This record gives sequence, C-alpha cells and structure tokens, in this order.
Amino acid sequence: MWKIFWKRFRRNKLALFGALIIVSLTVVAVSAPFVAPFNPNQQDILHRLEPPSHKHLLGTDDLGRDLLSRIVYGTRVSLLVGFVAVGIAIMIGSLLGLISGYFGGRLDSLIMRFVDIMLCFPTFFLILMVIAFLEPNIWNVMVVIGITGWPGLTRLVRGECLSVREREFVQAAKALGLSNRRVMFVHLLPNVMAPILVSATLGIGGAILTESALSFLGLGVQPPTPSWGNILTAGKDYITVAWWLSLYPGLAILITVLAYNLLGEGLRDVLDPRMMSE
Amino acid sequence: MLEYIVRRLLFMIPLLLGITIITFVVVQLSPGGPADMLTGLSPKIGAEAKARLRSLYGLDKPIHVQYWLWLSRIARFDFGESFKDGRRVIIKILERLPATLLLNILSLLLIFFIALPIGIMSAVRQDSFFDKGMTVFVFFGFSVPAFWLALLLMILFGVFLGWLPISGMHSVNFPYFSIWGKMWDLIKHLILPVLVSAFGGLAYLSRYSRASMLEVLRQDYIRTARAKGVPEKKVIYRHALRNALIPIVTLLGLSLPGLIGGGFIFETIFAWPGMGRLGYQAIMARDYPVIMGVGVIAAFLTLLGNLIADITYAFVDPRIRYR
Repeated sequence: MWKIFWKRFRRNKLALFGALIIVSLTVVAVSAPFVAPFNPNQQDILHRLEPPSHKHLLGTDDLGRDLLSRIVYGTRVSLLVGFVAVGIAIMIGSLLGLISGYFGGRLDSLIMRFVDIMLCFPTFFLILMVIAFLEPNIWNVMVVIGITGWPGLTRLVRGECLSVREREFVQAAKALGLSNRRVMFVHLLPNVMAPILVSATLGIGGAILTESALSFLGLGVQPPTPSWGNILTAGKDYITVAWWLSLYPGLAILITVLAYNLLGEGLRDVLDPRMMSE
Repeated sequence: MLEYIVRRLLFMIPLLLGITIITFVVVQLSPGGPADMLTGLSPKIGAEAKARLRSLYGLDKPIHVQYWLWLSRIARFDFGESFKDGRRVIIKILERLPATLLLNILSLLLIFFIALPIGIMSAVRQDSFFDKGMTVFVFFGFSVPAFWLALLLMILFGVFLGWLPISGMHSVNFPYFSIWGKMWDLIKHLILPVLVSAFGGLAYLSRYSRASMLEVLRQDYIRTARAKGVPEKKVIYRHALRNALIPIVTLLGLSLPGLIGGGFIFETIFAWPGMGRLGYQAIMARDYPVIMGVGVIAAFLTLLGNLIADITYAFVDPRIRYR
C-alpha cells in the first residue's frame, strides 16, 4: 500500500516540492542556534534599522537585532503553533464527526447544529475575543486556534462516516457484536483517514496564517520571542524607513503556507481519487 | 417558495440563540469577568460600591437570569452602554456599519466580476497556459497573509510611489473639497482596503467557479447541445454558464464571514472606521458591552448572508425546493 502511495506521490512534482520545503523548514527550526548567524535577541542600538548588507543579510530591526536570525527562530514558533493547533482541531473534529456520523439520530443533529452555530461566527473574531480575555502567549494561541478550528472537519468526517457506515464490513463488525467504540476507531476511522490527513495538512497552513495575524495585532506571541507576525508589527511601525522589516518575514510566511498547501493538495490527489482537484 | 422562506426563517431562531449563548459564555468565562473589569480600574473602590455596581448591572444575579436579561435586551437591539465612553453600543455600531458594508459590498462585487470570468476561462481552456497560470495564482492567493499584502501595497503605493493614502477613510482637509473632490478622495482611500480584502476571496471563488464549470461541461445536456450543432459560444454562455452559476451564488453568501472576519485585520491596518476596527479596539480595551454587541451583530450578518444565499439558490434552481 505504501509503495502505491509513494509511486503516485512521486509523480506529483508540486507536492514533492512542498514536502521538500517543509522538511528543510523543520531542519532549520530544530537547528536554529546553528543556522542563525547571530543571537536573535542581541541588541545593537548603534546599527539599528540597517538595510540588508553582507554582515546582516536581511538587515537589522529597530533595536539593531539581526533580522535573518529572528526569522530563523520564528520558524520554531510557526511550525509549533501549526502542529499543535491542528492536532487539537483534528482530535475534536474527527471525534465529534465520528460520533455524529456513526450514531446518527438526535446526537447527530445536536452536534451538527452546534457546528452550524460555530460556522456563523467570524472565526477570527471569536479567536480575538478569547485570546484577549486570556493572556496572549504562544500556548493560549495554539489552544484557541485549535478549539475554534474543528467545525469544518466535523462536517467532513461525518459525511464520510455516513457512507462508510453502510458498507458491509461495518455491518459485519456490528453483527459480530463488537463494541461501538471498537467499530468506530478500528473499522470506521481508518476509512475516513484520507480526508482527515488532507485537511490537517491544509489546516497547518491556515493555523500558521492565523498565528501570524494574531501576533501582528499584538495578541499572539509576545516579544522579545521572535515570531514572523510580531516582526511584521515592527515592520508596520517603520514602514516608511525600513521596507525589509515588512518584506522578509511575510515572505517566510508565504513560503511556509504555500508548501503546506501544495503538499495538502498533492495528498488529496494521491489519497482520494474521488476528491481529485480538477 | 413562501413556505420555503418561512421554514428557513424559523430555522434561524435556534442558530441565533446559539450565537448569543456562545458570545455570553465566552465573556462570562473570562478571568475576572465584566464586574472586575468595570471596578478594577480604580483600586480605591470599596466593597460596598462594588456591590452596588454589580447590582446596578445585574451581575449579582444567577448566571441564567443574567443571560435571560441580556437576551431580552438584545432582542430589542439594546446592547447596553460602552464602558469606555458611556455611549450606547448600538449607536456606536450603527455609526461604523456603513463603512464596513461599503467595504464588504465593493469587495464582493470585485470578487464576483473578476473571479467568475477567470474561473470560466480556465475551465473552458482547461490545461492551457492561462489555466496553469491561474492555478499558480490561486495557490498564492491561498497562501499570502493578507495583512502582509496590505503592508506591501502600502509601501509600494503609499510610500515609494505616493499615489494613494495609506490610512483612514477621508483626507484631513476633506470638508473643504467639492462634491467631486470628496468622491475622488473616498475612492482613493477605498482602493487599497478593497483590493486587499477581496484578494483571498478572489482565489477561492475563481477556483470554485472553475470546478463548477468543469462539472457542468461534463453533463449530458452539454453533449446533447454540442451534438445537435449549437455553436460552441452558445453552449458555453447559454447552456453551461447558467447552470454553473447556481452553486456560485451560494458561495457569495458563504464568503461573508470570511470578509467580516478579515475586516478585523484590514480595518485595523488601514485605520478604516468600520465595525471591525471598533471590535478590535473594544477587545484591546476590554469593553465588554461593545465586544458582545459586535460579536452578535457580526454573526447575525453572517446568518443573514446565508439566508439570502439560500433563498437565491432556491430561486435560481427550482430543483432545490422539492428536496
């Protein structure tokens, strides 16, 4: 099975490219102290707001810190937030979707109405609201993005479950007297894994975008910890004198999110021929 | 048709209730809660005064009674008064609503009139150079942080070229302009915010309309039309386009929450005097009545958008009513 998967995946050049970027970014994040040319919090007031040069490849910020080093360390924040937030969303979303799709009936309509309500809120405002009441820091950001990110997935998983539920092997499992839990997790879950995996990959990109927007507004990761979003806040403050502060962190976000989107779309083509993007 | 609309309206009631419950719970769960926020500002406030304030705002009552009181007030569009300046929340929101609606409606129009032709063209010439180029554009559209795009456009057009203003809705000397001068001033202030807020939707809708068009082009009736010798142009624009439009109509309604949600960032960046900026400022100042008001109104607008989309859908597609 893995062989077939790999064979089909390898043919998708764009998805391979995305995977390659993600692997390199992960390496950069893990080995940030070795990759970064400077200490990301080393201030040097005499050389503040310097344009890109040989010494500081991407220039320096308003406190004279090396921009490249800060972006390198920011990779850690983005990838961590992406993984953890999506992990939370996936757990809630697939569990509720499984329950809804498997049991049906009143439980199903209760969960689905709740999903409808959640989808009515502009998600970003809901996140802003919760974050503002809690203390803005990286852990709260991850948790809040996670617990607001599940409704779409619940709908998706439920829909898949509805059709898988009627298949013979599920009926057989039920007839054999397996517990509901066993049928759900051993027989249903693996069969709805493909769409979960795809939307997880795409979701990581979305979570990274949300985190950067929150940090940009000052409600996410707090300085001095560098995150791509909060570097951009400084970029906005010095927009007339230091374009590099605005350009490069955003480019980092763009590349990362693009990589996850390419991989996600590629996975969709490979894993699920029915959902093949046109 | 009427029955369908009534049914959809009734269906909205539990959703509306749910929206108010979530908004209420989120605010109540916050550490400290509204009562401490109101009194915490002044350390000199005594316990007695605190209690008096709590009873004034009904905060000493059990939580479900509080919710009921709040609900019966917002049913009359009474969201209370802002903690910050004591003005009525609904008036503060109504002042800001036109600016937000102007921005959102213009973005929607822009999205519709640009994304649709792009999607149709890509579908008709599938795998052409144009189609591939558009696919790349769509991928970028999904991946670009919109607030970063806003910054870049501000640097390019506002700082380097100096063509467009980068913040606000009017210039400082706005009152002294002639009527045309005022119009032109407003347009100049609108260009960047509208472009940025339309960008994400542009990618989404062009991809969606392409998929929808491709789906329709595979249908039997298209093959029939071609087989009986209808000119290709007519097949595309008369037979295919009309059917492809149906699902797209719904999407416009569904893109409202994204636009309104995005407004919280764009309006803040461009200092646009709309509801999003009001909400952001209220959040930063922990102005609870305004936060709850903006939350409920935003969700309500979304619901309204969905309703309009559903009704339009039923209107253009007679099949839907019999489901």
